[in-house]
Amino acid sequence: MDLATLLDRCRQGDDLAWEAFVRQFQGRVYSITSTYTGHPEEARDLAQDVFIRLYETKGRWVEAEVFVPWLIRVSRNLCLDHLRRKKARPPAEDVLADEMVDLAATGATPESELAASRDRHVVWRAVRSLGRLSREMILLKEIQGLTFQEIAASLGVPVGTVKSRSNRARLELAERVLALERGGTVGPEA
Amino acid sequence: MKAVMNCQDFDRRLDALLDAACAENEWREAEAHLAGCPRCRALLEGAAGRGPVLDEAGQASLTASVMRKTGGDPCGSARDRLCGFADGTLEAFERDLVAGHVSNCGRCAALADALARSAAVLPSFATLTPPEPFVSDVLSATSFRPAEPSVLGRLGEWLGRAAIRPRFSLEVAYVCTLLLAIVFGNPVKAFKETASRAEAYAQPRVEVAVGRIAAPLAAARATGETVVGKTVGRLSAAASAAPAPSGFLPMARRWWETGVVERLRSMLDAAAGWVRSAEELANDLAARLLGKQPPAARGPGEPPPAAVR
Repeated sequence: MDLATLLDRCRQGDDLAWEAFVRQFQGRVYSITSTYTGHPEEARDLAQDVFIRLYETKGRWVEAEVFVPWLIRVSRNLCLDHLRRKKARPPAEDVLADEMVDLAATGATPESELAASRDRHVVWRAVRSLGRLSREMILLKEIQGLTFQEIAASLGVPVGTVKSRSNRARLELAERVLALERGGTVGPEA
Repeated sequence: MKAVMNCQDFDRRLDALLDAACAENEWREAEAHLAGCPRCRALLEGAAGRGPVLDEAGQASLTASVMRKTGGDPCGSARDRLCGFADGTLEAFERDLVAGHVSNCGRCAALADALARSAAVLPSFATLTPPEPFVSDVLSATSFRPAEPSVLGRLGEWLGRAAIRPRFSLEVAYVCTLLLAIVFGNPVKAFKETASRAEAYAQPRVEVAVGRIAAPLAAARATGETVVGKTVGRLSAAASAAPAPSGFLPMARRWWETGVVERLRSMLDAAAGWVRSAEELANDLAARLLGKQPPAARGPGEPPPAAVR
């Protein structure tokens, strides 16, 4: 489906196009909110808020060529707002439910599926245990696949800084993966 | 006599022997020496590259030992390039350097492996499946919602979001202070003008009050001085005149002689002094309040000044 057409139809108020839009981007938005919150229900509510915000501001959407980076930036900003509000108003109970996030395996055989699933869970836990800066770098560069230039524009930092941060974050993630595989624990820093 | 080569001679000629740059007789002497000297045979084999070699563990140990004593731990440099190595973006020379290190360093090899596995897994997190029914919830949440909320609605939402921030109370206090300053002016300026306004308010009233005090004081002083002068004159005249047999004058003469008159006079002088002091005090007060020089103190015979205005 052509993204430019889909965005145009959404702007014109076509409900069917809007539904297709939600279906197309729900996974990506939910992935971003999950990375920030780590709690499936909270991530789901936050993803819904992102779509509601998008719906309310669809007259101000950017063009299709730069839409995905823009969508990621909007989602990230909403997540950061949410985390700030949450910090200002701590929840009555804090449930750590990283393992509850749906990480469906994609392996071909049961063995490879099991190995892939184990890898995915370990890497996901390692991502969740990273500090905020490193986690953002992993999310934007490695998970969402933004370019260094797009990340630099989004974060307002020089490209060189993004590159060095990205390298550091990847090494930190690899070390945490190894620590988890050795049976160690890595606590969330953020 | 046939020359015999010893071990020292062999060491000195070793380079020439290896380079085949020695004379024939030297070769013969060297061969004769080598036949009976296992030490020099081993030396020649080693120098020619045919000696015993280190196994892998020995090589690794030697490398590590040399690095410790020279360049330090190479893992830091390797880590700087591990991401590029895992991504396959290093140039061939750099890749070979890192590959050489990784093949001999278990820690960096494990890290490179974890990097590669993470890089393979991470893109799969780009989309995750939200719990159902997500789409229908979003659609129902947006179906009756205006696409563009009104300005008031946006303002309300913004206020709602802002109000839960910890800094909100501080920001509101700051804005309110600014508004008060805009509406009512600069409070510091008002305080600065207070002194001049108070002075302008008080000056005429102080002048009137001082005038009211000074006039009766001056009148009282003049009256007192007149009365004292007349009394003293009468008493002096009576004292110098012949004593009368009876009446006021003998009694006055007796008072004069016994010092009563003198005490009366001193009392009157003191009263006149009090009046003068009160007058000077009033003048001084007026001068302090109005910032004018007080009039010079005057003697008992000087005329009273006009009331301060």
